[in-house]
Amino acid sequence: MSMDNEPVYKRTMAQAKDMRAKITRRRLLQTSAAMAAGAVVTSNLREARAAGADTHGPGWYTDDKLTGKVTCITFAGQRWGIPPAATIPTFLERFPNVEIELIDEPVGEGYTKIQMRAASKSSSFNAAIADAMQWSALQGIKACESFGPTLAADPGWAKDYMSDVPQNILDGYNWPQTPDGECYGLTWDGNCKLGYYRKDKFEEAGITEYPGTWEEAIEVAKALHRPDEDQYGFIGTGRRGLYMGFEFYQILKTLGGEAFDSMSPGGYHPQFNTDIGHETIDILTRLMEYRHPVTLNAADDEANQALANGTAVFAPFEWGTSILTDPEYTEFADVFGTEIVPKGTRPGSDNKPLMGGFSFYVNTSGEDQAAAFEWIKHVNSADYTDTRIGEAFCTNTGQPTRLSLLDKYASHQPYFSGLKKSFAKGTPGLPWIPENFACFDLVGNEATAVVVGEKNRDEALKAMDEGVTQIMSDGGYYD
Amino acid sequence: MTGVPSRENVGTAAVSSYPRRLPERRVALLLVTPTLVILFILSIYPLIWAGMMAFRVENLFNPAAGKWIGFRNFDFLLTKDQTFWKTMWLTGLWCTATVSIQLLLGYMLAVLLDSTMRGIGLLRTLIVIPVFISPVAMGLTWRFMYEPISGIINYLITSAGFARYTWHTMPESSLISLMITDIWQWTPFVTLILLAGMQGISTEVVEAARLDRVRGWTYTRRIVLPLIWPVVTVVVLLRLVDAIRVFDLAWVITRGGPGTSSLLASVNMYSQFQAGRLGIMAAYGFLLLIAINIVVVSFLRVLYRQEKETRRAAPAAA
Repeated sequence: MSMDNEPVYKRTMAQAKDMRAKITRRRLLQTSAAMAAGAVVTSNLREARAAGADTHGPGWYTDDKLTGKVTCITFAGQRWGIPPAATIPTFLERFPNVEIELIDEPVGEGYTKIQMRAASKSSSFNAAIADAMQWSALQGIKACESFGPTLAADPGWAKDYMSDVPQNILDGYNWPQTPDGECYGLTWDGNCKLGYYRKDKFEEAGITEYPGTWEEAIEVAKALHRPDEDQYGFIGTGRRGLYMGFEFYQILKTLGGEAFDSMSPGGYHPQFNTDIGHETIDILTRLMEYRHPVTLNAADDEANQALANGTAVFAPFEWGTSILTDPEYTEFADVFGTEIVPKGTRPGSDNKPLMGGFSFYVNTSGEDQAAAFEWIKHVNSADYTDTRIGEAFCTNTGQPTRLSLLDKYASHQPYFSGLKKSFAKGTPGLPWIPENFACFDLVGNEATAVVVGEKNRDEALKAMDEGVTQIMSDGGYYD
Repeated sequence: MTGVPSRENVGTAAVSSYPRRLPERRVALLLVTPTLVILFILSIYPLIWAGMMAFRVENLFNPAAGKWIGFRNFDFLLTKDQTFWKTMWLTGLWCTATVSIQLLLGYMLAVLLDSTMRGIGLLRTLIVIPVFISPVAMGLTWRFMYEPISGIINYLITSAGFARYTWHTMPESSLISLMITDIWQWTPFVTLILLAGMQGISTEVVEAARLDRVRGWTYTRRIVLPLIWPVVTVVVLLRLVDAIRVFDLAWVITRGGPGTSSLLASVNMYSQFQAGRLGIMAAYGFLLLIAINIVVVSFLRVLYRQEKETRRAAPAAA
């Protein structure tokens, strides 16, 4: 029986079994390497230095007088847990008397946990992961220390970092979140909504060009949709709440729409119940006609799984992920292509992928802050400091914001080129206000209600405007 | 001479020289105080704090904007939020369906297990395994099993020649999928309790029924059910309270979706927390608490009334 005829269930289980074995061995190797590096670094330090001599950049320095413990909270998993851990050996080479403890939290609960820890002024950690979408909430409770002095003390490194990370990403971790703002976090992880597609299926269907507009995307989804053959033309993360909120917002932005009339005093009035809002819902519901069965319950894991097992073949706006172009995780790695998200046809439309990504910040209530600053700077370093840092990060499923690393390791992770292209046109994943999660949870719930037929479009869009208005009013935006 | 107790002055006024004993009530209070303190810190104080939050706007991500708004959160939930009433309806449906089916299946299993055949002990042990599985692990496992394309259940169904089912991925079938999982997990618990009740029936009664050739449904209705009724009511009450509060299973498998088709009350409440809307979440929690209390109190009233009637009838029969 050929692979094509084998039932999907058997194929998926075979892949899962294979992946489990590989992941377990791989993770064991990585974890052992990190631990072994810490254990033997003192005795092998000279050897390591000698080995690293060819890898050092002008920014390389060591400091064995720096002591303390870095307790850094990050999210668990390939993208956020493993890459920083992979840079620990080189960090310990530079700062042998600093102890590193990485605490991995499940990302599903991460935002609320980080916020609660920060609000309680906990000193149990001194470095933590933060999303630009949560930045204003953290700044509102003065959770973060400024990186100003750290960058001023190493102008060469600062110049290298600032010139290598796109400005629209840097802005997210300033305060205020503008190019003129002061830096409060260094961003080591970046993401954008990307279009993922199976090149072989496109060819099979006679589709020669990737869809540039939503109308074209809907036609492509229709052409690829063959449910009798377990092939579905569209998949997205349609889980109710914030996930669907992202789907809605992505389409809205590419049509030239905005969440609010303006993001300045006197503004903040929602703009969902508009022509653009109606067109957004229309596009979403039409795409959903060709959806994969898991779509309405799907977060990123479910969507990626469906793409990886070959039953979903087109995802016009999916968060960037390493697994779809990695042959260790999917047999279709060689045939997945990435592209920028489609746009509308009305005036003002543009390919505007939503941006995600994370930084590390230093906790104002934490101890050993000097060590924490060095750790965060190290994770965010590239060839200017040592080529091994970027290599460890990117070859261990990291997703960097540095353009030089995206270029250098594009052959290792083919989707890096799509990511780099998308960064250039990226827009904040959600409006940068503390109420964004509440607003878009509500927006997502209303959008889901339309898709499953619980509400009509007019009711849902009106409810979006009313609900968001209430949230913003409670937040004091209209006083 | 007072102060020094001796054999001569025991029982006289000199007894007042013995060390003063604290009154029993005070001793009891002293011993209970640590528990009360812990109860206050871990239960009462959070309850009061949540109560205050229910009357405020509290955004987890913007605490500076918190303010008193009176009953607005309750008014919103009760009069403006259609989702609230839908979740109440779904939760009521969930409780009725799962508890009834668990009771029925549990009774049938208990009857089967109430025998002395060989291997029955092992069977009883094996049958309760689902109760001890972590709900999150179980939910994840069932979610993978329910996968419409790559899940094992649909694989077995299609291998048997039937059409694939949508399970948790469609609004029409998501709640049923959750119910199946919950019934699978908790029926053994019900079985265990009912079996214990059955085995508590006096053998004399059983023998007498056998001699009178009382069998089948008559035996069940006239003999077994009345005798195990207190056990039945306890297990129904326990399962009902658990069913109202169910969260982990629904959260792991469907998160209340697709749409609001499986949005149970606890899941919706937690969603408010995730969105940072703590005031709404607290108000929701209190309304749920009131609902649980109404159900429990009503249930207990029915139970006590029946017990009273039984006790009244017993002396008359004697």
